[in-house]
Amino acid sequence: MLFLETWFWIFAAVAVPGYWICPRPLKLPWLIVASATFHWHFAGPAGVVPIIVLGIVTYAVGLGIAGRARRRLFASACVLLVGALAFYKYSDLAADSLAQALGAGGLGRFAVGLSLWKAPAAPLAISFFTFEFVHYLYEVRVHGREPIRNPLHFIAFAIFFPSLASGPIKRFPDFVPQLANLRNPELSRVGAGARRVIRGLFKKICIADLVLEYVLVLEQAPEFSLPLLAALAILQGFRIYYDFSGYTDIALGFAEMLNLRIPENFDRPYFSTSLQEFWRRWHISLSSWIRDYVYVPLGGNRRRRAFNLLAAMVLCGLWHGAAWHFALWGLYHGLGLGLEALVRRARPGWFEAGRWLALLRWAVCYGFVSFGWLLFFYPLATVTRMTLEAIRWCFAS
Amino acid sequence: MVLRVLRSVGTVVLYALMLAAVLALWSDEAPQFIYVAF
Repeated sequence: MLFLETWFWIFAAVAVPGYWICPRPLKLPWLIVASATFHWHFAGPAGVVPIIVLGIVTYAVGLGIAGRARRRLFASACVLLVGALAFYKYSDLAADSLAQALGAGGLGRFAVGLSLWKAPAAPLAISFFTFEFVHYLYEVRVHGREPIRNPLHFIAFAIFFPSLASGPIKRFPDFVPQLANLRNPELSRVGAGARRVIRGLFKKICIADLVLEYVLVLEQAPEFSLPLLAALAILQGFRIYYDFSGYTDIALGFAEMLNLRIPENFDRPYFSTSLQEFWRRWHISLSSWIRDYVYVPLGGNRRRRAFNLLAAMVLCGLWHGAAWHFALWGLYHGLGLGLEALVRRARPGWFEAGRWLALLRWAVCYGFVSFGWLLFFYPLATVTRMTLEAIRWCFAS
Repeated sequence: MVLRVLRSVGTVVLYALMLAAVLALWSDEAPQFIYVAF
């Protein structure tokens, strides 16, 4: 359970004050030992070894491609990183889907082996490691950034324990320079970090987990009316926000207590008055990663904009889990963003300032996002059933 | 000055209450953070 496990709090009670007590030259080794202990405890050898391999490859390739036109080396490393993620996370889904397709096409005998395939358990946080490693290589190769030469800096960047398990996804040009000058935080910063940790725990334990109790009750409804469906969608939206922003607060709070800055992930996303704004305020470190390393390399706004947007959002959805309803959730948001861009072009007046107009835009955006959470949490068949029942309820009442 | 003291006291009380609520509802079987699975 990571931050909610007693082990973690004993670990933190040693790791954080120990970091403060360490003389400056020993702060970095201490941080690395603490982070490695954290990683080993929660991921185990089967989770740590693949990350060590991918980390060594990334570090070496980063040095190898710096200032040189080694496009193949860069591409091979990216294929390895993304391939490892796909193998651990998506090979089950791919094998199942292919087996079903072959079965449906009357080629069931070829599907026997596929349906027996079972990928080994994915190493803890492999998606987050992949994101940070791909970002690192891309920045070195494409933007010509100076690679991380000090291996200790690279290790600390890769396994920094507050952000190891679920981000926020760090950017190395922001994080690594801080490692060269590690200092103890001022007392006010320790206080601010501790308050943030308490806020995070409160969000998770006292809001998200409590909301989950209501969600579980609503899910048992024999038939869904429109108010029931709306309540479920809104509660799921609250649950995921308070769960993940609670996690992020704890991560940011610990980073602050160590006098290190990592990126914010949320900026009151449910106050957004457009989908474009929502994606600038929701899981910021992921949405900006998708923008910079998927959307822009595909062509961004320059060409095939609609395709790039849909591809980026489907990938964003699929990243959340190996199930097609996550891809559908991404597609839903991609179509929403595309439609919003069309409306913005055709009716720019609708997006001008004005309290009532903003309120209307907020209601549309909030409704769209909330319905989306149903696609996020439930398979399409379940959402379809719930929605049809709610529509039937509207006509019956 | 008084306002500043009141604000500081209020903050301490608020966070103490939040911490008390967290400890009261703490459970070793709490659900995992959603994004850890991703």
